[in-house]
Amino acid sequence: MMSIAPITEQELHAYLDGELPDARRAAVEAYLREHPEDARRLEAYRADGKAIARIFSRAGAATPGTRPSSSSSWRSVPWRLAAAAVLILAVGAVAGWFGRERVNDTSMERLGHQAAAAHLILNSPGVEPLATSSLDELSRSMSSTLGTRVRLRDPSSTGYKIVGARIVPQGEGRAVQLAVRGPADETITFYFEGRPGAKETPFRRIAGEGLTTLVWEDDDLACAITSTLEPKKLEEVGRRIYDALLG
Amino acid sequence: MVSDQPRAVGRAPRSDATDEMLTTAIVAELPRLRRHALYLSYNHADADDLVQDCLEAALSKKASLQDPAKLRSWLFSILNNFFLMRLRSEARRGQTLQIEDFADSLAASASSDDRQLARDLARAMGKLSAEHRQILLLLNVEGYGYQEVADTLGIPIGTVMSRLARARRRLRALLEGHELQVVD
Repeated sequence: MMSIAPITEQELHAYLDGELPDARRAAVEAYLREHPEDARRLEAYRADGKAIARIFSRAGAATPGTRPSSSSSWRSVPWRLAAAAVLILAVGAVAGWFGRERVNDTSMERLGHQAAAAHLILNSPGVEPLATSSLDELSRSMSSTLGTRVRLRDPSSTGYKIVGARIVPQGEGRAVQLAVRGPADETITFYFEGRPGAKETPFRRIAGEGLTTLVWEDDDLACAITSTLEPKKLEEVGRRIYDALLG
Repeated sequence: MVSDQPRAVGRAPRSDATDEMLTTAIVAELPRLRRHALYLSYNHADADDLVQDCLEAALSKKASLQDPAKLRSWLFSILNNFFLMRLRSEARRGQTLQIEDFADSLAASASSDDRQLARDLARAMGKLSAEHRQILLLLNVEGYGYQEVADTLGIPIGTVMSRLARARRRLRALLEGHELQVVD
């Protein structure tokens, strides 16, 4: 009989995982018959794998979590949502920048991209915004996050309600994402970043895929708004909501 | 002061359908990424941040994805890289996993038959090294084969196999309650 290479520990695992070359299968099976303690051990590994698959397969978003207080107390309130990040859109050179500092425009473009990504995540499967805390608490959290005094008011006169809010880490600083929902159940998200010295500017559009994002600055704030509405409509609605919220 | 049509900032995006489909495909992977991030980090807030970093990187680098069929591996690879990076900086700050809190929440969400198992398993998985937890999650939860694990973690397949053997041995020892007997 030809000598057969000894069975290695890794081959036992490969057998368990269905990764063993067919040529070695018979040898491993013979080995396991002769080594019941190894066979039992493999069986235990198999059971552990099944348990991991079952216990750890729940969608993360659905697992009730204790969110330990981290950098901000506010984080324990809002969405179980991976809010978002940058550059959802192909970012390129800034084509036109309306007489402003180019660096500033780049930062507004970045803000717009972050806002768009955050919006997409919010509207992805399995993510539900949670009810927010009181307007007073939101205002306080926003003020301390953004480094400027913000006083939110109830925008419901516009037909839109606040449905969620979140502090989003962003580079060195932090941004605030705020979602409102309208009469047709459509969601519009605002995205704010503190920007000392900023003054009111017109709304401008960030080019994007299937989403409209408008950016502007207000006193000490850089702002973005995102939805699927077409630009002109979003500007009209967004301005109305913004004025009701913060005006 | 308001222009009648908001003006575009930035270059017009490539509006090809492929690009848009890729964005849609990336978004469709978010629940999986979120789940994986949560079981890696044992913490919702950290998981959110991980997915955020991952999405940011993926969207900005999506032009570099050669083969859209490998999107999932590619995303998981980015996520796992961020996880290890974050872990290293947390270790420097002396942060550790919140194993007991997480075990409680996992047990609470398990069926009553599985409650004790969920708690034991969450504790044991939490005590594993990050690399061992990674590999067990990819294999058992995500259903990856050895080659996919190797691609995702950027390690040779031989390393996958030896690491897997150690991870299983260590997990078993933790579950049996005699972790000190294990020498890696």
